[in-house]
Amino acid sequence: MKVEVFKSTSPETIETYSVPNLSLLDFQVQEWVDEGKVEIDLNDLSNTVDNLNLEDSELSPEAIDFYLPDSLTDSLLYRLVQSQTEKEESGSQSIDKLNEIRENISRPALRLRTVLSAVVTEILQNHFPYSEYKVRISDG
Amino acid sequence: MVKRSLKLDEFIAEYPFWGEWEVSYTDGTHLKKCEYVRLGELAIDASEEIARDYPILPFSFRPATDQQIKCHLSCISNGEMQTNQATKEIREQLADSIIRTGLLRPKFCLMEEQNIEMNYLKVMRGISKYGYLTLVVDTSALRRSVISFLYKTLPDIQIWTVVPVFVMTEIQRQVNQLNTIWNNNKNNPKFKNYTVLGQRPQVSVISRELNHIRLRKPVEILTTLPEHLGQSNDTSKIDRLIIESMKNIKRDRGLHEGVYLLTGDKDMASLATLENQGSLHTGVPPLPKEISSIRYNPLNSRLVLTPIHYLLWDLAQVFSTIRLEDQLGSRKYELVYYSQERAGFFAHDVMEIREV
Repeated sequence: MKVEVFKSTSPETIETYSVPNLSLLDFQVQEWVDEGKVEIDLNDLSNTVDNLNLEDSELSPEAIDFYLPDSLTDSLLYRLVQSQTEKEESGSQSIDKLNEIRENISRPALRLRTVLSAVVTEILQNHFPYSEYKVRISDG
Repeated sequence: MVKRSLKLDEFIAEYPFWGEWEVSYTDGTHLKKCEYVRLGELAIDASEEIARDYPILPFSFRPATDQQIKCHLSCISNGEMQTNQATKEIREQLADSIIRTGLLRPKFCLMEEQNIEMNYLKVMRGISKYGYLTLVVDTSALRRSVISFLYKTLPDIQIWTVVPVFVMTEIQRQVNQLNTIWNNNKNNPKFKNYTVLGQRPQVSVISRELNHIRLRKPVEILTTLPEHLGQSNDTSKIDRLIIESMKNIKRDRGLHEGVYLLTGDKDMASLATLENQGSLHTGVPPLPKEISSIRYNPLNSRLVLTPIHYLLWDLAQVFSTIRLEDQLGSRKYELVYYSQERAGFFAHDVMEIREV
């Protein structure tokens, strides 16, 4: 999915925010799906997202970055992989298995609302005054 | 009571969190043993089973409001003015912790010649355009862990951090002051010592930041002539010496582009710009009522997740002892950063976890 920001006075895109693993279909608004895109005033973006019926929706896991110093992330992932391997008692220490566990740990299931709020928060921090901007959300 | 001393990665791996928690602090320099001040509430929307499989889960944090903090302090402090000042200090330190741990991104203002750019994306693209970045930092930038933020946000840019030695002498001075406060008050806390909350990060957080950033990219401590060190007792002189250090680097090394003064001091940033030195000012955005641990990085379209443990770790470094209480009353921890076993401010980054 992509969110394009443009001025209310001109349809030319100023900034594009790509959001992988998210689609218009996830919003469960038939009108938006039929249209293939939706345009919202920046002023109304927060309210519109808050009012979507997304309470229990989860995204299929996508790799995310941990906000930790890199040196700590490496030692942490090593530690977590070791403990998961011990838990599974498979005794398998193959590189593939270790990579699979490492990947799983880096892909926690996230609520759709949480992800959407993060994107909206970022967009709202970058464009002022809100009354002068609109967003166009589409799959692209 | 079970006591364990752990490093941050061990804390994350061995202490899963789920459910809702109240966070408060106590501090032997200005609060009596039984006095705790509320810092906020944490909520992790996951079951115990999920938390054990995925120790790093999204959470939300509701910082204590001015009113809530004042309510706690009004019966401890000496009058309304002190209550207000201490409340302001606590909220400022909370905001700094939240920024350092990546829950909120700092505000940036790029000042170059006649241009001032405050749009975050334009600032980030502006400082990335040469593929390298030389940043001359002062204490305010280091204590907000802005270099760590830039490492995470601009992973492909070669960042060279220059720390003028005056920054280190400033840290040494703070250590002496903190040790004096601790030695004079360890058995008799006085509330007026709440000011240590602003001083501690100047030492412990900067030490942590320097230790982490130098493991990945170059960090240079820029020395000076011994006679100049004697001049570093006054803030305005330190600012001047840092700006002069920056000019010297550019002149001596023939650098003309991609060199910036990184500071949290707006006046210093403006002054450097007046003298034709590029500067990057970093500020603190207003603290929202509720903060999510998931951020979206528009520069690489990826989601960023802060572990709850990292926030707690940072809070303990600032507030000394953090108490965590599960809202169901089944689990209670105390995170003691400056435990007696700890040998001073520059000791290894280890925390004592007490399972109460």
